Amino acid sequence: MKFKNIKIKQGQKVIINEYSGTIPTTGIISVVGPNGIGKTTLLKALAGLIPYEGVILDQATLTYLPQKNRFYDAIKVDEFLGLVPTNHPQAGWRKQVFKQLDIADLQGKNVNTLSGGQQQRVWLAFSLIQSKSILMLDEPLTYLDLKYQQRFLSLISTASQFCTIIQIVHDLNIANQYSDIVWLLTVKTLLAGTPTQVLTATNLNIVFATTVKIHRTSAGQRWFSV
Amino acid sequence: MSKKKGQYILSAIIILVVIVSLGIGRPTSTILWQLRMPRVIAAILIGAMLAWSALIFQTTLRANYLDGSMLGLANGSEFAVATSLVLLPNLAPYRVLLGAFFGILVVSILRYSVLSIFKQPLLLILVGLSLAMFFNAATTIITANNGFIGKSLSTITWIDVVSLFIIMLIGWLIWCWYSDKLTYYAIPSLQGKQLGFNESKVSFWLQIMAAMWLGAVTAIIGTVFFVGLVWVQIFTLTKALSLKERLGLTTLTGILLTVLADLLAHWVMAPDELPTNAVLLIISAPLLIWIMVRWRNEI
Repeated sequence: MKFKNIKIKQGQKVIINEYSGTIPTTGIISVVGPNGIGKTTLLKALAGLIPYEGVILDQATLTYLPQKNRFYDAIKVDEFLGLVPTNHPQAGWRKQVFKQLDIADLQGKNVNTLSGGQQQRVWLAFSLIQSKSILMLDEPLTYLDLKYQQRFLSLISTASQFCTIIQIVHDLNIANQYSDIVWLLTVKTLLAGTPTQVLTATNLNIVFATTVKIHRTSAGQRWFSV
Repeated sequence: MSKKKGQYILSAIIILVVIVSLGIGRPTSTILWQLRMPRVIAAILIGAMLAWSALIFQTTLRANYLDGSMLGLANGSEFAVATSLVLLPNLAPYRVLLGAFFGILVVSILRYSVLSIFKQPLLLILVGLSLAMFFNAATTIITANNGFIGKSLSTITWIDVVSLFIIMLIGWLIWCWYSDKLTYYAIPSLQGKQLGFNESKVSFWLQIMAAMWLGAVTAIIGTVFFVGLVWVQIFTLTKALSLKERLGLTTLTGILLTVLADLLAHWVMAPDELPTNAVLLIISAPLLIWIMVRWRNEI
């Protein structure tokens, strides 16, 4: 899927300024940028949920999971996840997702009685088991504790072998470690490339208007601090 | 209290009230079959249809605090029925069918106007109430000095009961066709759409069904503000019961209160008849206060 000169305006104000890019058929894309730069707006436009100027070519089947999700009625976890057809081409994927996110513990429970973190696990499972080419996740790690953050990242690493994951993240270390491509959003353009190409001290200092330090571990891995 | 236990208790009380309604004053066979029986059957059907229609509107619009009366729908179809009967009094025996027709007509107009413009529940309620006010005033004006009685089950006939049955059956068929899709309304519209759920089509048919029932009911007892909302909210506030689980309890509550309202309307000021819709409002009002207290405590 490709997008060219995507521009989004809210009244006279330009929110997204002619971004262009390519979405590969597999891999993880992390969308990084300061608050209010238009990360969510870009994803919504690519998902066809809001009007935009520009062109999207070869539109793929996709699922978009917003940052905040709510239930409008009492529904049991298994009933909710049962809404997703069980036709995922990857055999055993559904079972794997449920196991990693400990969905079995929540089966039979009313979603309204779950904690924020438990609800997020259910929503992530709901999105991951859908058989779509692109999975767009807006800050998927919100509400998750460290154990489930780790498990979720492991799951999307697996999923990235058969679909594309586009996730908005604020943790640069996660973007660096778990991405094939990083989109760094600036006021004027979208910088796309591998984490090493895009997450440089110069880029980050300009985009976030703060000093971002890049360290190296003894194993040679980069990690970020402010 | 478990859901089943609640249903048994409500059913038992309904049976008791029905027996009292039919048997009080030891009626003659003619009175029983020509007056009381159609009245009690109509009350049962009306209670069920009112409750069910409110539940459908709340679910399909994802707005917990409204019912058909608050959308201007009940007043709209009541106005249309009243106008038709003032112009063509010969249509009186078919008022239920007329009401159902106008219910469908009004909801169709609303779907392509108010419901598509005002998506936020609060705006929807405010616009709906302004429509209700308008139609209510228009109905009062058009029926003034025309001897238009309505609003009471004392005028019920077997033709009305049979018409109610027909309307209920048609609605039931729509329900059977689409009720398995109701689970999708528990999740945001976007997520349902991404799963391939055609929400617009399902909502259309379910709202047609609800409006048809509400229109038919309104043709007999007039607009009864807020009662659908109240009956549904009694069980919605628990947050633990799913829509289908609440359906039985809500319907039984609607039936019980309507049969009870009719009994009181008939006997409290006998031999004068009180308007059934007014009595229904009076006995439902304390429930609204109870809901508000529980709501405040939950917050």
